[in-house]
Amino acid sequence: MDEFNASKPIYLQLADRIHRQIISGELKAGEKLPSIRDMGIKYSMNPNTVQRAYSELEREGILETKRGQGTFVSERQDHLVLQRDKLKHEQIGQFVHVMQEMGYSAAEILSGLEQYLNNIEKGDE
Amino acid sequence: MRQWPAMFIKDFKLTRTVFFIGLVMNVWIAILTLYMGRVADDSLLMFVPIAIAVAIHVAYVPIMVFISLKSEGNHLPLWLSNPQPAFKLLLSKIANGLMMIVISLAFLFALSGLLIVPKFNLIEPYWTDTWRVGLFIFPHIIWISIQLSVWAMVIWALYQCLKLKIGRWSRVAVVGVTILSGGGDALFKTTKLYRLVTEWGGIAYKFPAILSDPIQTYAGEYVYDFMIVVGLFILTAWLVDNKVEG
Amino acid sequence: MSDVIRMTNVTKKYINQTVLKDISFAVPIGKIVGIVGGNGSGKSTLLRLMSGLSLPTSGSVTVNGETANRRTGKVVSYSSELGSFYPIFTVKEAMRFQASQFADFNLAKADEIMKLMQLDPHMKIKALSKGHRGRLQIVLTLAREAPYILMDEPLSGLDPMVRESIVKGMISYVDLNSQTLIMTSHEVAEIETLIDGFVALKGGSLLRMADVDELHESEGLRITDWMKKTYI
Repeated sequence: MDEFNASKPIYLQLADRIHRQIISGELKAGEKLPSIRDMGIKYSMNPNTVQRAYSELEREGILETKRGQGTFVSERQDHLVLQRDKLKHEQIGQFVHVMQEMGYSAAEILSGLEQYLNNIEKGDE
Repeated sequence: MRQWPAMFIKDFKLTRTVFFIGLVMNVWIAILTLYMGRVADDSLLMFVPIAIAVAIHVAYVPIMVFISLKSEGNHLPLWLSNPQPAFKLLLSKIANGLMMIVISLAFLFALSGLLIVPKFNLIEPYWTDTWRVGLFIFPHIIWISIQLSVWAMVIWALYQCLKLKIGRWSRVAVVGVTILSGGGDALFKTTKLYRLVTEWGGIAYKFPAILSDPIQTYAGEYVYDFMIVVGLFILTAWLVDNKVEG
Repeated sequence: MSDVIRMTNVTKKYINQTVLKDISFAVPIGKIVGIVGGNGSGKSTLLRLMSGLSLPTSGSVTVNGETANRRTGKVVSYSSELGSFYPIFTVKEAMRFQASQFADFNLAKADEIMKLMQLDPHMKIKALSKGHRGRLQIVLTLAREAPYILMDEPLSGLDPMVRESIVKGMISYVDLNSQTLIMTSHEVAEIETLIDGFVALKGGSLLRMADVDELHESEGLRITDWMKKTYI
């Protein structure tokens, strides 16, 4: 419950979360999602809210519902690649926007990012 | 289980402790009678405790019904949200009281019967009348007790309605209404109109060995009482269904 | 469209005190609705009026088109804050009794919820702790397949573990295709992800009724933040 906190409608937050799980590969193409009720139980969330999140993702072509079988991650990989790029673009856009607002130059951002990623890699080893 | 029987059993459980205490008290009465028979061995005095115990039984059903309603009052939403109509809920309580008073009185009569056997010579001349009086008293005690229990119910329901509307004055109001209607009823019974309406179907019960005057009853009086009781019962059920809040 | 609980200009007075003032709203089937507000705002009274256990001083309350009274209990499964039980029963007996009284009481479902709530069927109700009584209340209320389930502070005063299993119980056993769940809560954060909409009361008046998502869209606020802003 406590994970849903930002000032964005809860159904959109759940949709974002599922979306990210697909991008990261945690949820594979063609994989079946938990039923609306099970998803609700998992996150202590109103089934109507889960339904809205699923519908939203279906509208975007990320999920598809097969009659009588449940909701699945879309098989259309090209779509996923596109979504993956889109999400990357969005996140970088936000990041750069904030950095520029604080007055960092392109070179500073680039080198900072490089250094940060290198540190993470080292930390992993 | 079926709806009403389950309700009846629940209501039995609500007052069973008092019921069993009553039975134990009956045993004590019998022991007291036995003791008095030893001490004052030549008189009918020994049967006084039993007579008193029998008379006290008029308060039996109203007490049971009141205790039962009082315990429902501790969790009123539970009782009120029951889907059965109020008359069935209330009938279950009266039926329980009726069952218990019949058992209690029968038990008392049986005990006194056992005690009479060794002392039979004492009452031999009165014997026929004694058991006839017993037979006369038994249904009358029960009938009066049932009537009083309906009064207890209507008073309880009235109190429940009023307490949310007028608060602490509700007790006073309920006592007032009770005295007024009780007095009114008693007053009405002295009028000519009452006698006109009820004095039919007369039967005189004669117990020459015990009572010098016969007891005169009228079918009309029973009908009158019955109608009053049914009216009050309908009023109570209506109050519970429409006015009592939980 | 008559499958709703509808309040029209409802005012409720006790003796001289006005508890609710001119409340109007309707709740259809298929929702989880929270009644929120501070202490003494009239939440419990509002819930009791919907159940037909309380009667309005003026205005009208209808459930599926019929004026609410105690017989509304047939279509409304109501649980009071402190819990209402016959102390003479064991857990199992209480379940059996409810099953005998309500045609819509599903005994198999009650058994399931009882297990989820980790209640011992042979425990005497008299001997149950507050937390266990809260759980039993959930069992008895949710096992009814009634169109309307009304719960007064179902989560208050219980430890987090019990609260979580109760919330899971609500999601698992309330079927939003045919049922509506309405509950009161003074801890809005507790029920925020659970509710579709809310009815906010303040001093007996209706402050606002809205969908949680609608509030987000119109004011960009979560209900907890909105309440902080509105109530101070």
